[in-house]
Amino acid sequence: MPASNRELMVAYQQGDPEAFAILYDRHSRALANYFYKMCYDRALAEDLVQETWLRVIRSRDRYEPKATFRTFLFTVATNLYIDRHRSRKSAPKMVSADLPAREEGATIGDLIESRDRAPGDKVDDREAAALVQQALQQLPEGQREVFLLAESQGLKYREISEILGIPVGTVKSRMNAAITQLRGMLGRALG
Amino acid sequence: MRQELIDLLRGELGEGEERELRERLGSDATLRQELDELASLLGLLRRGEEIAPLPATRARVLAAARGAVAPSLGARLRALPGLVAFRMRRSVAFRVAAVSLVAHSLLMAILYRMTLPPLGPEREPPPFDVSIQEKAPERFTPDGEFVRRLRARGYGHHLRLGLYGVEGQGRRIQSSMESWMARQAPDGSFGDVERTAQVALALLAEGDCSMHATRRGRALAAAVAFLIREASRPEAGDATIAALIEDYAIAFEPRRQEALVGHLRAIDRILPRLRAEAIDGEGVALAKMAGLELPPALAAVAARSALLADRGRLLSSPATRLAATAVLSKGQIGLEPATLREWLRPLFSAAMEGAESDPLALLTLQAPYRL
Repeated sequence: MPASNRELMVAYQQGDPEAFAILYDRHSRALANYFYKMCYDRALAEDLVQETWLRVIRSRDRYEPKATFRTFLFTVATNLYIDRHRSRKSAPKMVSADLPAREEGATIGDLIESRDRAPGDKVDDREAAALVQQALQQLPEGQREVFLLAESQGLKYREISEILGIPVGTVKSRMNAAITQLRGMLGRALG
Repeated sequence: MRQELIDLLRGELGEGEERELRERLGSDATLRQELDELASLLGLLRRGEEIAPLPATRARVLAAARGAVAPSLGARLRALPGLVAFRMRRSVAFRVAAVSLVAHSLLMAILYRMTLPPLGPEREPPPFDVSIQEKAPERFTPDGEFVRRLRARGYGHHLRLGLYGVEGQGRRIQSSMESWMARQAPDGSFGDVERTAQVALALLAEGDCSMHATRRGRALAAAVAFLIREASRPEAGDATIAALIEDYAIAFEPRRQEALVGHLRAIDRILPRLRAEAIDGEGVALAKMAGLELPPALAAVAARSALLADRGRLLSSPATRLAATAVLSKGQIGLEPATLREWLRPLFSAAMEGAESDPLALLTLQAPYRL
């Protein structure tokens, strides 16, 4: 039977680097996608993944087995994101020449309007992915992080509450608000 | 009620709550429809591009993990009895060690300085100067005119903000730059052409930063060599790469420098007008882009995007007309020349007939796409 995350982290605390390698392989992809969907910047997401694990290594003595490892990991990740990314909010936004033009600057409404689609038509997978990306980027950050932790990572409200340090009620209301907004933005694309 | 439906879909309801809600769903068609719609929405939202961390990141992290597992000094100290007394001894020992270390460092520094040859032209220049000067003697000299222009125009400022978001935080800038340099591939790239161009300019603009000048010079030399190679590859050396290189102000031929400066000035003049005028229907996307406070070099990329977004409807608004002018002043924007000519012909005609009163349109006559 495979070892639990908790057992692996305890094993790592006691000096077993192989246990850490298993933890890394189990969670890095999820971590990368969490960061990627928070910022949609591959390079930044990669840096954040690396830095999160380095912080886990540095703070391994503080991990207590009563906390689930994923909660611990995403608490580190979320705090790191706050440290590193929110300071960019005041920076001028950059556009990438590699992005298709429709991904730059236009709103979901613009994107949907720009398609000469019959009212009943549905979007294909690539279009859907682009629309979802646009929609997520337009969410307020607090809602986006709750939504991604809940839906992308499958974390429970209670875990998200611990990670973000906010009441469960606030997690729920942010989740509700996020889905309401996303529904408004994407509703027409659903056909 | 929507909250409860969301909770149901997420499996967050208690047993009793779930049973009660399912009973209501059984008798309420509207509620069932609402649930279906929410399920579809969540299904759609779960789609999207996924990424995986690079193997190099894994290697670095695991190496750090292996290096960190030796029992720390702190742990050993905590395990010792008589902790208070030991801490006192440790404190004295640390002070003695620190004083000794400083004294040795000072002595070594003095000895090293005494053995150095005098500063002067006979000293070998760092690798940065050698490799870059071979390509373009004036432009890539660290203290050259080109770099001074870059700094004067605030490129470093914008790039620092854009890339790192750490204006004024020297240590974090340095940390970010080192992180970038660690990611450089053997061919000199930082992932792709655009990213390499960004980083190369950031490295240039950070020329007065106190960090590892030699390492920075090597990284920059390799990045520029990579960009030159990319631009000259038949399959990749298209206008897009050339435009990118110009966008990031690292064009290589000295004769293009003045054109580049002219282009940047034109973009600077156009931006405020874009913000003021791009408010009509078809210019909305452009207005949003102009409102992003883009750094000047990237404004051209945004303008190109506006052209692409507008397709054949170019010139139907003052905003896109200005965007066209802005883009034209660059000469190359990564579009097929035939397409560009077709889209821009009316603007040229207007300018040549004098019907276009906008002096910016005259810039088009200087562009390589003149008709």
